[in-house]
Amino acid sequence: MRLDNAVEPDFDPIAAALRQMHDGIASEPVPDDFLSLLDQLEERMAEKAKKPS
Amino acid sequence: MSDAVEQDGGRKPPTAEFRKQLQDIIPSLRAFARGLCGNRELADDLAQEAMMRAWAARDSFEPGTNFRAWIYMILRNHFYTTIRKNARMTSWDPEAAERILIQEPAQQHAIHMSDVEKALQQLPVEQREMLLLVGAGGASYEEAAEIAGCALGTVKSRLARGRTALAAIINGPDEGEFGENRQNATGRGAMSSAA
Repeated sequence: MRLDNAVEPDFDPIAAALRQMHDGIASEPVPDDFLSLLDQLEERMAEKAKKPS
Repeated sequence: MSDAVEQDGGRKPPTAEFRKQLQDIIPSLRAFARGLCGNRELADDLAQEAMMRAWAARDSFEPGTNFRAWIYMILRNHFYTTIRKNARMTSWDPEAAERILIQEPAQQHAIHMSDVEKALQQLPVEQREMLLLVGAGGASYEEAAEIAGCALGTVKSRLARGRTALAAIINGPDEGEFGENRQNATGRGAMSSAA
């Protein structure tokens, strides 16, 4: 990916690149293990709630 | 699964809203983590650990307050703890950065994403995290100060120094801020106005 800085007078290529970097990662599909983790956390909490104190 | 989950005493069921907030923050949490440590696998480990710690500490989160700042703070704290233990994540090498800074300026006025990613990892972590929070993630100075646990002035100075250093690493010290027309950043973060 290439970001030219001659597009507009106050275009900041570093700021643009940082945003692109962030947005690129944030737009990746979330790996399944993240959602599995949430499920596991919820299940574990439910199991603990069932156990008599 | 980590110890963070074991600390969960099941005191209070999480609301669906809490889970939704956690799920919704995953993309930007991964981006923040990857910017901090520069490695996809380690970043995802960091993000998952932060999620587990957030879950375990969910009773301490006050609904209606800034969820992103809260969980970023958790991730950041875990990151700093981890880099103290794990040399793989301490990418900051002052001598290496110095060698880069004295290289001839690049003879081009364009930058590549990979250059920015590599240069970012050469910065002191305190400056890197400010560029990630404000410049990349669009956090306000106030939010960045809350996450990093520092004063507003510290945010601004770290941001300004980080930006200058990043430009110098990418372009060489003489090119610095991409010339006189680069003083007014547009868009999120208004990075170069932070000096």
